[in-house]
Amino acid sequence: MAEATSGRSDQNAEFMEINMGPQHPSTHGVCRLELAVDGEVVLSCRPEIGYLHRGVEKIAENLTVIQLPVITDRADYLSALNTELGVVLAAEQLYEVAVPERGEYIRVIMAELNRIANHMMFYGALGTDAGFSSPFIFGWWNREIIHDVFEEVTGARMLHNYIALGGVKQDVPPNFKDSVKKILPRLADGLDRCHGLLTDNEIFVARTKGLNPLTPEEALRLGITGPSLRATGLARDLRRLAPYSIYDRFEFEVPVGTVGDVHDRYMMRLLEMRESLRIIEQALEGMPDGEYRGEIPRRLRYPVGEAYSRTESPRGELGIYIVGNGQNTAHRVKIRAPAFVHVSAMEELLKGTYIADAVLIFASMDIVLGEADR
Amino acid sequence: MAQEVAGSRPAPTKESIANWARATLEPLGGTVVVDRQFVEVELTAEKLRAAAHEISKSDDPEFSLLYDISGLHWPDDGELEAVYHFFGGWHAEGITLRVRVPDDRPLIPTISEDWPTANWHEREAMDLFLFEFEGHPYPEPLLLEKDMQGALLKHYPQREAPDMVERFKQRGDVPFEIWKAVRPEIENG
Repeated sequence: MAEATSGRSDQNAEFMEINMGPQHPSTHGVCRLELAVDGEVVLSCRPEIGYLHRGVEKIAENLTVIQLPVITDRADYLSALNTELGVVLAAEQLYEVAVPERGEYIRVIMAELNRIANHMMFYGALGTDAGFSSPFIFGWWNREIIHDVFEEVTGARMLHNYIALGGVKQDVPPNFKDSVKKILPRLADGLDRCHGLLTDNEIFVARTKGLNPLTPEEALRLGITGPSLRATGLARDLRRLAPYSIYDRFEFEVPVGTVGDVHDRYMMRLLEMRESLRIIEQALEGMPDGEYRGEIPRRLRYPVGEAYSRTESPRGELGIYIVGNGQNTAHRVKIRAPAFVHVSAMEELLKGTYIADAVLIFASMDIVLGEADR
Repeated sequence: MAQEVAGSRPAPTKESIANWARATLEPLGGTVVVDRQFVEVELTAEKLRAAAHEISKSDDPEFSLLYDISGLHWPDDGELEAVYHFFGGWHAEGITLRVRVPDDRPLIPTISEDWPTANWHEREAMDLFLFEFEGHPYPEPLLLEKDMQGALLKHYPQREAPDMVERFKQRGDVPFEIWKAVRPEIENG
């Protein structure tokens, strides 16, 4: 390996080293995969990250708990509300703050909408990487519908700073229920179109079926969580397994796959969106009137102690670890980013695959480098 | 609260994990603490690898996921702490290992032999806290440049955060009394 020089083949070596990235359309951010290839076959892969490191955890140590979601939004920018939820749940555990019913319902509706928006982005990106140009348009079309609702509620389309200690920052607008009810059939319809475009597409199936299968044990060994783990057949969903917020009140299925190949991973996301729609419907029915934000202490010094929250973010299992020491700012805020672990798993996942497939496998894990680097 | 997945294996409880830890990890020299969020075991650095190995090969309770390795800097004690969060793959319960080492010589053995995901978690902790993981297969910087190592240590030089109260007091356009009324947390903060 040491003899080969990047970018050109060595006369004596049996392989060539190729840099995929850091600037590459299918690395979904700035990530470099150092591939050693023999012809078209990947012999080894060494992922390099850090290009997008902004010191989120260091900055978070200088922020009060009210300011905290602002910076964690920037970590996973495609599902900011889900990250906020994890951060705020950990903070609430530390501060022992109760959340009123209405606040919980608003949180669930927003988080599930965000999950759909995120998976629509995944759908578009995977379609593009498989060589189709329409899925991206279809995915963004549906994502746009959701972002319009986000804009009405939070004032922002991507980085919301909306879920806050004790509930949510502000109440939803009066027409919120109507506008969400209006988009649900549109999203269901959009989802059907997405299915029609790609799921049974002969070329797509030929490229993804049987590609990079995984067993649950292998996936867990590599630290893979979320939809990619459920694709292997293991029904591990923290919303069901260790329910947080009010997820135990809703009826929804946890879709599982069979062989854990790229097509299964793709299907998991699409099936999950349907379940998210179901959750949103139920939450809209059950959403009570009343307070949207509970009593929060006047003094916002972090209590001495620590809290760990685990939530099911669209990408996988998100862990937030907050250590307080009686100051205005936290002693430590650690973000356990699923994407970070998924990038590290690439080292093993890509071994023995074709370069063209490596692009698909990378896309099938739904990686956001902003979260991996933080 | 712990439910099991797929019905194949029984889900352990916090008590059963605590009992298992007392039986298996205490003979290795760990101290089991149960009154926190998860069962926690405090260890010295030499015992860490053995404990991590026991956790990885344990079948009941089963732990398949190493969630993260988080560094903590305690400058008053002159110590660095590494916190390892392990969770089950088939259930939701977990166990935490804690290791404290002096911050001028933070030597910890690597656990990447038993836990492949520890490879990157350890590299990250190396970058942010200057831990030295003995026996790590590829101890190269991951997130930070070589001249920025140790950025999460408390004494790492950084620009001072602006004193918001002072800044508001100095602002001529809006009297500080009004700011206090609008943003009570500024005064109390």
